[in-house]
Amino acid sequence: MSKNTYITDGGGSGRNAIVDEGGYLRVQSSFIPPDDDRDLKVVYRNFLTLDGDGTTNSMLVDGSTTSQTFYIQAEPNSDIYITTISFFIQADGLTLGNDFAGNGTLLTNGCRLYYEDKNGEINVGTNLDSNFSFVRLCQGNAPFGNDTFAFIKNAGVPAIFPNLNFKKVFGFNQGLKLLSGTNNKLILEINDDLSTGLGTNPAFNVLVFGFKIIKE
Amino acid sequence: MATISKISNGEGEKRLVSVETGGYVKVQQSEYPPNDGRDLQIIYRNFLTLNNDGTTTSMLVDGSTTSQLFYIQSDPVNDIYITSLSIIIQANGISLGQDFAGDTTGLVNGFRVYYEDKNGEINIGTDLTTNFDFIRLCQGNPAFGTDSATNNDAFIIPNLSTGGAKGKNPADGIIPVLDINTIFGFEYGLKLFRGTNNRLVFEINDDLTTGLGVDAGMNVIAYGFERKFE
Repeated sequence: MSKNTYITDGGGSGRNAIVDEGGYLRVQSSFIPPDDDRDLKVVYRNFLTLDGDGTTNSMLVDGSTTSQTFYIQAEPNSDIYITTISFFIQADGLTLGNDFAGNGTLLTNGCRLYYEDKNGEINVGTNLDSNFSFVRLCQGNAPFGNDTFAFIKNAGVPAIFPNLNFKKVFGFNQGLKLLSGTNNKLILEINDDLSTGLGTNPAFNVLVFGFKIIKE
Repeated sequence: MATISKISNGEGEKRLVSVETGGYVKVQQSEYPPNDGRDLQIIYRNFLTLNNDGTTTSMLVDGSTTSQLFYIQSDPVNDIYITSLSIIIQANGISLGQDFAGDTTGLVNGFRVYYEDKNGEINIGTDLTTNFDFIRLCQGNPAFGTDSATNNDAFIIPNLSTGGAKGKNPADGIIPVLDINTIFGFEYGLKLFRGTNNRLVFEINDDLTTGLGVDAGMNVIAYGFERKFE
């Protein structure tokens, strides 16, 4: 046996909540945050590092024989939510044509960006064999410049620094989660020899932004 | 034993709230803000100042021997939510190459941006030694301008002070903005809890009183809101 219930204003106005056509309950969100003093959310910012060593962030390594992986990993006590990734590729002569870091051609195998959770290895981007591949993966964010210099910072050593926004590109409203107490990882895999053949003054690294939720 | 209740329409036609597959209650978001007369949200906008003195906004100080701290601090009564930081660095000859404010080399130690709460010191940006490091920290926001074969104008704004002109004349500058929600996923921004020592800090670890370009300048404004309590 069930009974019908009205949601009534607790302030004594006598107003009842309205249910619209289709069975939708009308709701209205507060524009101010709740009064929650637990302080459980902290900024997260780290480079992807070689084998997660926490130190080696330069990706100019030889992955042609054995793939080299740069990653961040889940933490024991805090969930990590990755909201954005900043890629940085620089070299003299860098272009958005057939070029990776000024080598004047495409990488043979290309980089792979993926994460690991209990669903296995999930690809975020594959065959990233050129500067433009990274710009496209990031859907042209941030857009600047014109023509030959579109997306390229030319001052000093020319560089691109596209940013992957997980909310905008993939619809992950809180970002990509690395579950605490697991081996979840976010990985950039190098499958070519980036230790040679690039333009002068080359550099390649990846910075991850987001937040951590500390478990109570 | 639980009582089963069906949520009914409080006015007019007889309707019941639907619960969908998966147990989701169907709701419909109003396009109007709530009629909330409490006025608990107040605009917050402040410069970061030296030791939070409320006055000294210019960051051109000597932090090479003792680090110098520019910060805003929590309020005794209201929570502060920082939604964005506006950074200005200007100087004759400023560029996105190896340069900080026209010094043409970049800093030796660099800035550190961090905040403090009960979790300790949390870094937002470290080793910020060049103009470009700030642009990257802000992920190219706002993105404007273009480089060319003769001029490198991407992210560089002219005429920040008298005498400025397009083409790296005195006081061209960069104006990156750090959007806390977009970059770090903090829906309401970074919170400085009321009644604590929470603070947001720019730490200077180099001597910025000398060696920079003509008309050099740097300051940071924090934007957001205060959340009052009844």
